[in-house]
Amino acid sequence: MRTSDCGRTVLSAGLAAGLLATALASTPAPAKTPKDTLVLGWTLAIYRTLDPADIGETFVDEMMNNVCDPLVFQDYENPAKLAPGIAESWSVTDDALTYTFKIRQGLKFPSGNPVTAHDAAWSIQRNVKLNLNSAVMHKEWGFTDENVVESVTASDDHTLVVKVTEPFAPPLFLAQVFTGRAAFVLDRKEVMAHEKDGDWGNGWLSKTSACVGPYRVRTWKANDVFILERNDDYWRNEVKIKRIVVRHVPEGGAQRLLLEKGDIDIARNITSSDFAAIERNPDLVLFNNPMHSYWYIGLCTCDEVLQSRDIREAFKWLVDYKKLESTVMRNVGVARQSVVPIGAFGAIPVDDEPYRLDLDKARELIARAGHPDGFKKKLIIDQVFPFPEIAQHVQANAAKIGIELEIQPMAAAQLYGQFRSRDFESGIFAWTTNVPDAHGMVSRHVFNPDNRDEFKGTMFPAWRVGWDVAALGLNDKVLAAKMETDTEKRRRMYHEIQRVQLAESPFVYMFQKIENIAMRKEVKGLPITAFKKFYAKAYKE
Amino acid sequence: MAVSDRDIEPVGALADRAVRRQVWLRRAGAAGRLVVSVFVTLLGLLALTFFIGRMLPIDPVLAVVGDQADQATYEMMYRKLGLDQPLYVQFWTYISSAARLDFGVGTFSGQEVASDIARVFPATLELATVALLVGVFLGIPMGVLAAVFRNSLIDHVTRIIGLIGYSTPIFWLGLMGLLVFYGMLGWVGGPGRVDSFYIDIVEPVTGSILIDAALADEWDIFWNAVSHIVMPGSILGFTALAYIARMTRSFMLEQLNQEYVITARVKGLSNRQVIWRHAFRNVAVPLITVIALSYGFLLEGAVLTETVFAWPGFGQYLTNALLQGDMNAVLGCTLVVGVIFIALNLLSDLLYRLLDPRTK
Repeated sequence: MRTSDCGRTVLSAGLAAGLLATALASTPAPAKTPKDTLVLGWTLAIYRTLDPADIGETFVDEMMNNVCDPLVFQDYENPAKLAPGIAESWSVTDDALTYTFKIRQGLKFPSGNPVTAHDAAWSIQRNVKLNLNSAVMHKEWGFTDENVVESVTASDDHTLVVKVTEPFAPPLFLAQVFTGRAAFVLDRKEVMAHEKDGDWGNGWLSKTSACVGPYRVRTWKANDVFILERNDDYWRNEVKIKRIVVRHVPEGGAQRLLLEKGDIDIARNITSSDFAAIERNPDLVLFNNPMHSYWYIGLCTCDEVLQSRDIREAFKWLVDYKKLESTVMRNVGVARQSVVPIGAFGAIPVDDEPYRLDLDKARELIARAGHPDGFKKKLIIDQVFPFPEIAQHVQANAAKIGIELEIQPMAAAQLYGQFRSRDFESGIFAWTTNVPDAHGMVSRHVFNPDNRDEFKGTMFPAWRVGWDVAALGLNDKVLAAKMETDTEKRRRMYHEIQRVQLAESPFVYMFQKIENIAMRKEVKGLPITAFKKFYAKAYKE
Repeated sequence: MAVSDRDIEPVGALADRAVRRQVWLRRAGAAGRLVVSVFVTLLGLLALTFFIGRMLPIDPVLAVVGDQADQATYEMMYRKLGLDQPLYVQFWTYISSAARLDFGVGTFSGQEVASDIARVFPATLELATVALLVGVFLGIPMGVLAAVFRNSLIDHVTRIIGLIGYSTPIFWLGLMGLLVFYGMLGWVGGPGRVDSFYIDIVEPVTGSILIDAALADEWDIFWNAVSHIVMPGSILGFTALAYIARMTRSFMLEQLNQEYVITARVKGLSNRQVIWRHAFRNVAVPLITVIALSYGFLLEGAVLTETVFAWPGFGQYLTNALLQGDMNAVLGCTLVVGVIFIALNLLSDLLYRLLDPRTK
């Protein structure tokens, strides 16, 4: 090729590049988020349904709590306090067996149908009868397919009556049963108009909403976007943000860039590597929100070696809780050894927790259990942060006293499949509770109605690890606390349960999760609790 | 009996008709064999994916009901998903539904798999097409120049670019691209297909935001979408470019050593004519396969690019489906990938016939 030919080619390429650059430069500057729109960056990989009876994902739960009002609200600032919701008031009989709710008058569903007590009763009955994800929230309190129609009734258009079979502690019962998605009041007529093959409208409601709340679902596309639009007639307060757009941004670094540029207002999946940069940026605020979620080790007593109480205790001395908290888990988790999270009713103070890294003590315990030279066990873990990091820490310390832990990372669905079927030796797991009360955790982790394999009590982690809590009298203690109406007495009962749990349980609770929410400083007034985010109160300056 | 001229066909015409019939029969036979082979390939692909999927130790029920569900709820969902049936029954149920283009409901998206794929695939198609255009329009000239100026600076630069394209993790490249061109310089749009302001404004017709915006006469959105696709398209196109440039160079070197090239030069043709009209025309045929394969891989799902750039495409959808053990979605995607590769192979065969006179 002659040089002139080559020159022409290069010139053409240069011209093309120049044209492209000009085209790019002439494109409009990226639009920032409008003042009446709140844009969130979040990982929206999984969301199957909008039906409150079937919601299982944190993201959908949070969004739908801004679409549907429950009978009773958790307070904006203090989740332990209750506030009127669709029910403007309620009363409990002295024997704590009957609850009467007065349904707020004048509310209308988007269809125009009035909100009545019949809708409220039907919504609870539907949840139990459908027996999907949220059914456990009612079933745990004695509601069954057989009794729910008689137990939950509307005596007139504005009076809902709920009868229970046992006298539960009223604040606990109200908080656990009537503040979440299981207590959303649905438009009975509208939903049943879309019923198909006896599905209680589940198919239809999986893609839309039929309830009263500050927002309505406008667009819903898995792996893409979720958009809420303001309900201009909302009864509770003036809603300033007109539109909430949740964009699927799976990568934490990309979320940070979008936030810094002002293309999103809130980033929900910020990773620890970005914390420092966000904290340095005067336009951004990093909000650390302690959740009622745990990372913990479960030791299966189905394994002969791990049946030993001494061996199980040895594991509790193998974790350097404080060191991890200040390094790997910084801004991600706080050390917590008790089964009851900090911030929940009945939690013991952190100072009462006994464990720290003490290899000598651990060595002594495994020797006393008849394994002075150690042993070999498999440790199954989720493959995502921070499971491998915690596992490597435990593995390194265990190796120092002769315990060889073989780490087996896997997908979450596989991990929990093995956990639920008692098909493991040891593992690191996560758990989240949805009430700010000790009961939320102890009713699953320190309660095991029947430890036999054939019982298949898979909803109880205590069963999964084969912990015979009945032998320690803990089942009775948990049930007694559930019924105790004297608040102080109930608190003391939970303290006692935690002391036994700390000494005896085959669980090594290590960290309580911190949720990191990075926001633009223009976003104001957004109440954030461990359980809910009330977008209806947010505004932008 | 009187016989008219019309009743008597000349021997030549009869022979022509016989030949035409033979050609037609041969073509019909070839088409029939093609249909059977496509059917067997897709069936085999589905069977393999289905049985491997069922052997994976991932529990699809847990992905639906969550870790905290009680056993009654778990078992109800187990039956609802048809997992209590023998494997061959499950497979037959799936195949017979798939034949009606019903791929079931995705357990992690809660939507019909067919509608999910129809939604995510155009996003990937759009991205892959831009990437392929970058790869072809830059990769081919680079490959040709590298071959013509063998061992020169141009050749070395092309090889280095190719090496970087092959060896640099696309995830890192994507993040760096975002940081520099979006974060620091502000030349391009950020992650996502358009800015938040423009989301959900254009009614999806084709699923391609560029085409839909143009059809709707929303030119602000169109240009915004262009600014968003430039970066992921270029990053993805860079890997295609590396492959196409390397293969083009290799094909061209082979042709430039042929005697007909020397003859063409002796005839006094210009370098441009020798290279582009003679040598490159012979390279074009094998290059079609290279381009078709590149396109296939790009369409199959550029999951990492889609993750970094928050591109709601096919790759991310398939990866999520695999991680959640959502077999309906995995099988639907497998079928789509199979059809893509078969279609691209057919297309390249067709182009071979058009471009290569020897195949006529």
